[in-house]
Amino acid sequence: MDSRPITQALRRAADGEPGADDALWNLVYRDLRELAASRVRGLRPGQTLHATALVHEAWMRLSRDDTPVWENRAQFFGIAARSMRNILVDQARARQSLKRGGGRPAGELSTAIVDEVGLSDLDLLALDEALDALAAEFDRPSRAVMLRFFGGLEIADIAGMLEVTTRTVERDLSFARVWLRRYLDRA
Amino acid sequence: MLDETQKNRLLELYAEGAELPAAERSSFVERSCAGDQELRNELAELLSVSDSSLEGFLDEPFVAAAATDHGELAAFARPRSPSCAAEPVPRIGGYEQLVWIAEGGMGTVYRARQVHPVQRTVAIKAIRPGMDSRSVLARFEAERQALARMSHPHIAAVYDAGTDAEGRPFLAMEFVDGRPITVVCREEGLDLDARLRLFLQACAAVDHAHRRGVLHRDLKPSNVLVSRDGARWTAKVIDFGIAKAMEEPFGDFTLLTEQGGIVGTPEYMSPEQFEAPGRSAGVDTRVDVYALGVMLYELIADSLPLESARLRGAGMFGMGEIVRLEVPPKPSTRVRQRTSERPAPRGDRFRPVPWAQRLPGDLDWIAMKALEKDPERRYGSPHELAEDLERYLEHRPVLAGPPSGLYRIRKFTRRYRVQVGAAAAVLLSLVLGLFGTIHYLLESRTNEAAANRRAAQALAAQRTAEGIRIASNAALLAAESPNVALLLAVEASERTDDSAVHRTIHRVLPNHRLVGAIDAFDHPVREIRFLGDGRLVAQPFDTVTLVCDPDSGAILQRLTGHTDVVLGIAAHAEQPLLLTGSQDGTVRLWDLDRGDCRWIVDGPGGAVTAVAFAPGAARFVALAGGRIGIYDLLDGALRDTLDVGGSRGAFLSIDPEGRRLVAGHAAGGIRVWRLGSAELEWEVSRERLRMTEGFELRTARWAPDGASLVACTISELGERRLWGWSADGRPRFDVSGWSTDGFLDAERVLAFRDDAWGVLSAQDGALIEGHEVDGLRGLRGVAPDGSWALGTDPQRDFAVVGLTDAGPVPVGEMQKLRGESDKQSRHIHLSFHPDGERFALSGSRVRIWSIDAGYAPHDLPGVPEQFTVASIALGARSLALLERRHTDPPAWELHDLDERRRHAVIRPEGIRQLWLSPDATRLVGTSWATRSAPSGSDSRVVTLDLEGRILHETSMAPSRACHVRPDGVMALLAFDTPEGGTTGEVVDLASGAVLSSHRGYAVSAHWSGGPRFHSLIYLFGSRSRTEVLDVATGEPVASLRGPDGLAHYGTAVSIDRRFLAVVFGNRTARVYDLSRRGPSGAPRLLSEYFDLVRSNTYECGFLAGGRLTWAMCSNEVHVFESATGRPFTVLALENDCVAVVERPDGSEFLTVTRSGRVQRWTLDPVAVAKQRAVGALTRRQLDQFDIGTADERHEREVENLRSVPTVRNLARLGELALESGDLDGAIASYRAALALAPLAPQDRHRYVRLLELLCRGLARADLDPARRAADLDAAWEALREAVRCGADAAQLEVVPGIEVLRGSGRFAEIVPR
Repeated sequence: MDSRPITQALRRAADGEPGADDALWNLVYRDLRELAASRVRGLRPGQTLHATALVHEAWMRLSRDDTPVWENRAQFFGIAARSMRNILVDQARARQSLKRGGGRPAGELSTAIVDEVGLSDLDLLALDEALDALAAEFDRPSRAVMLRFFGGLEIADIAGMLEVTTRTVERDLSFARVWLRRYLDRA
Repeated sequence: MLDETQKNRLLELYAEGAELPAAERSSFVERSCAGDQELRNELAELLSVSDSSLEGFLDEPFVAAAATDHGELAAFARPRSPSCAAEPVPRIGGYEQLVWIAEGGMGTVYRARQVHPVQRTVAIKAIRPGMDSRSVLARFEAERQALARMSHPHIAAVYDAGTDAEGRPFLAMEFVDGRPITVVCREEGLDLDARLRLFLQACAAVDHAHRRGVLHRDLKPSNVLVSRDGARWTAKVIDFGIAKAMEEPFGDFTLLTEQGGIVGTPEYMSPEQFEAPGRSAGVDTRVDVYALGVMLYELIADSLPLESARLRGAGMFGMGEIVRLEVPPKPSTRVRQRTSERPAPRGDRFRPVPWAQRLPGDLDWIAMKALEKDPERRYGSPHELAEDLERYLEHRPVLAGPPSGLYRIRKFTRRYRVQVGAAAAVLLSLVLGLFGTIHYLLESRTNEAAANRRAAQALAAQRTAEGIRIASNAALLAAESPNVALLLAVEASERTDDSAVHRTIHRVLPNHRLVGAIDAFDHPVREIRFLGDGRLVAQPFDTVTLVCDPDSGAILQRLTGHTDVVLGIAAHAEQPLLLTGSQDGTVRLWDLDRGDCRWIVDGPGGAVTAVAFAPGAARFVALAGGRIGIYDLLDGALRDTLDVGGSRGAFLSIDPEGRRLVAGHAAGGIRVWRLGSAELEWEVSRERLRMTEGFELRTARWAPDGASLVACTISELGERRLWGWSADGRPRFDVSGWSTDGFLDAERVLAFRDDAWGVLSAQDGALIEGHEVDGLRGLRGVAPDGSWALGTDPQRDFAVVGLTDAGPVPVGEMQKLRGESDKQSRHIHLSFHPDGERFALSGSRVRIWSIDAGYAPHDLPGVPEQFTVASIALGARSLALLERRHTDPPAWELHDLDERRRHAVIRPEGIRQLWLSPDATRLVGTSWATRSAPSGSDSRVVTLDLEGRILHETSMAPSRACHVRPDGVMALLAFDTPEGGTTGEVVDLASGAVLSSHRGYAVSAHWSGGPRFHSLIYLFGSRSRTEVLDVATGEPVASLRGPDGLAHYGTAVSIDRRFLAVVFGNRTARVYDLSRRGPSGAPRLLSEYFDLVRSNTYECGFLAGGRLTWAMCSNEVHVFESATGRPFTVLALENDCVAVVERPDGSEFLTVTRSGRVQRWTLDPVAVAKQRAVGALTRRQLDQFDIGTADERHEREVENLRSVPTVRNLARLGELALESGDLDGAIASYRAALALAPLAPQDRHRYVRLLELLCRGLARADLDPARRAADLDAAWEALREAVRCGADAAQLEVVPGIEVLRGSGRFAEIVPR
């Protein structure tokens, strides 16, 4: 994985260049997918890879480049968390379609990245929808929940990134959990 | 839908409500949402979501990031997960009952029962299924190797390695049934001294690993396990799982495990480990010192220096901030704080430590020094830390101390400077340089002498530490930059005589083949040429040409006169004449004996790019602007002018007979003229060369006999085609893919491709031979005798390659022959010294290399395929006797090691065993196949000369054993006695006389005591008793039982009969003094050495007349001082060592390995390093390796610059003078620089700079009139020269202070508008 284009994209995004955000997103997403795929290929049935570890690994690879990307880590983890969520959801979709008799898309991840989320594939798909709904209404709690559960960050890190206190992050997370639970229960 | 205000309100209210008990929530909702029905409904619904429905829902990130209590598992690595538990237990032959114990970064650890070949409990570490990627396997292998390199009572040993039923690798290690060191100390209530002694064991183990080039990097209590062995507590360091060889500390170290977890445990990670990967370049031994420091803190203060909860609560990034910035309280302060915080703690964890009174002072400072944020301020090694702790335990003053000590020492040195005299001045400067590295405790009550002593002691320790650091850095460069490594080792040797210095030098010397460097150039050197007399002509991209002495590096002549850069040079084959052609359009002929210019002629027009002498004719030619002028050598008169047809990339070449001249140009077209008549003989057009767009024609070359010509074309994309013609123009071949560096001989062309080199026939271009060598792209030149060549690698670096019948073979370790600074220079030129042993490579400097590294290993031929090394002897000649295996009768070959050739084949009749006498004058053989047991009736001992002729023969019939003395003069015969024991008789083989007789049953006996073998050593019982006899008198000299009944492996007596060395079964070597007795009558123990590694065989012996002892174990040879046990060096050989032999003059010794590799080692490494190191460390290197103080570096830079007075160096001196405010000095330096030669245009800025300095000087009011006039003249001169070099008005008018000149009309005259 070459982290250079990502570094450039990060820098451009930090400079507020139009379209840079999308470019960055594409790069990080592709990266994580490749990383996940390469890790997953080494797994045996029943084994798992941890989403958070993947995100952190991607980050460490990225920051190995000797550039001032540390300042951009909030952005990176935001995107990475979103990427991770997409990867997980894609995976769940793929498995669902497999169960329904659909063919396996070429190059799809063949093994679960995360098995012990405590969610079934269907739950995961529903959660994905719920997260979208939450994001539409409550931006900050949804970002906190993404960073925490898909980015695997500590409360303190999230607080730093969202520029709020840890107390607020804890409240946001608690709120988001309840809100999502209710959303899923209603559905 | 809620609006934004409502949403914010909802968030706030929810947070508030969620904290209330369920019963109070509904009234809270009613109360707070009065009047807003929508908000009320939302809030009520959210608050009513029950806790039970939330259980397990998003309550954890998809991976738990935080680890459990420290010390359980690698932090961040996931604690054991259900899927891991389900993981099948590996099946491994010979091991049973695998039980899961723990999980590390990449593997799982099981406890298991080994059933074969030994029954014991082991710890098995296996790679987790799915983790067996190449990089993991590589790391696993690295761990195995790291562990295999270590052998220490406090490091868990590796027993076995292999693969399981699934083919995954595993390691079987010593199972340490212990608890973490902190746990044991706490639970068993160990007192302070016991804790420190346990801790010292861990320090010793880590130090041992460091000395073997292994960092642990994850030291923490759970990796230092303590178990009870009777009344003793023993600590063992385990889990070198993330250990990485120190060899690559600047490598791609990452904090991540394969899973993405962070390697290491944050509480024990040093600040530098929290740096972003890629920035943590400086991770070295001090990482482990920090971790040890944390443990020490824990052991003495019963608490972590930085609290775990806070650290982990800070998140992945905050953690690093805390570790990097937060200085923990001193242990004593921490204990006091905690005692006051919790006056009556219930848990015993916070019980105030009973030794609280002992903490303030030394222990505080030792712990704090180990925990310094800046690695520079920390102890340099676990050894240093341990030494300080030992000092504390022995109530000696420690080196660590409060910062204020520094202030006191400074005051002290100031106060006593006069008394201490010159030494103190040095001390002062050094002490000031010590800032923060070592602190002193200088209590006010200390008297001057004590303070003085202590300061000197601290200073010495500091010098030693610095020396070891420099030596360690040098060792890392051993293969890549041997010369820098050697220079650093010499630097280190001035600070310490620690074995690290010797080890480094011994590691570097085999690679060191640089024999000289000439660094007197202002610009990269384009061309170099050895003259027939061995002088070297070097042509930099400059106006000046230099003639150098390659031995001393001295400049013999500076040929100055050209006013622009010289582009082509040619040396006359017979006479001391040199031609130079320059950009200034002229050609000069130089007399190299007189060093002057014979005459100057104008070239045929424009810059002269090439010149050549016509062999055998008094003519020379010069190429300029697509035309060739032919001149008379005697008077320089132009005889003819030839048209090449194009000027870009034009080249010319005269055949070695001087008959024809070929010329061509890049756009294509080759023309050949008869040189005598200057008439065009034949030509080849661009079309005939099939040169389409993008192709270029490169230089054409004549065969050594002038009968053939080759040329090659190359496209932009690197497609190559090689063409060959006969001298009269008949086409011979064209082959694609190849290009050439010239002919090997008249019939063979040396050609190369991207990936191979080959020899092509000059007749038809057919490939005669072709080879590939790993890492080689082609051969750039073949030495005059054809036995070796220089190859290039893809980075266009060079390697020496031996040319054998089987093809090219790299000579020694493939080494980068170009310097870092040469990478910038496009031209790299090679010239072979007429002696055939040396060659020079151009670059920013000229380096002279030798084909032979001197100390490079040399492989005996035929080993190991058919031969083994039977013996080695160094006497008047250096000989090796090789034995052909598996033949009956055996056959031997005698090799001369100095001449590196076979001396004789030896096949003595009826002899089954043969060896060299130690003085290498004869061979001694026996009719039986083992050294000690005669086989049957024909028991003969023979002495042969070096050609295999029998000199002497004895028959004998010992009933039990016979040990022939290696020189064949005596033998020890053993007989069974009727009582069931044995007796030994020493007999003279010549006369058969019995010299002495001894009783007792010995399992083994051997002769010792240097080349005269005056001592006989018997080993008794299960090799647990050694008896030494004097051969001459037959008297017992000593009887020795080792410690704990350990087996004695190697034994030896020194040549002066003073020392007895024994290697014991526990891998310690001891030296006893035979001249002194201990209380029990046994010889007195002098020294002990512990660092030996596990091996099947151990041998030992003495070097340097007994001063040094060597011990051989596996592939290592350890050398230590006999009297003190102080390590001298450790030699790592390629495989198992079979012999260590010293030269009779004591200058060096040889080692021989099982595979027949012979290597020389000097006994005076520092002297050899000083003699062989070329040049001096540059300022950049001094800075890089942090050598000396800033002032010292500055001084050394000035010294270096002064010693090589080039334009560049003098200008740099000028700038340094200016920095220190010395304008006159700067002007003087610049004027000296510019007086050296007319500068080339690219150097015009130097004239401009001088102009500026002079103008600044002229602006001074206090300048005396004579000086003013001189400086003014100099300024005008500088201005003229700047203009000659192409400076224009725009550039000159902005020179600061130029007003002094610009007012004059002269300025306008000189400076073109």
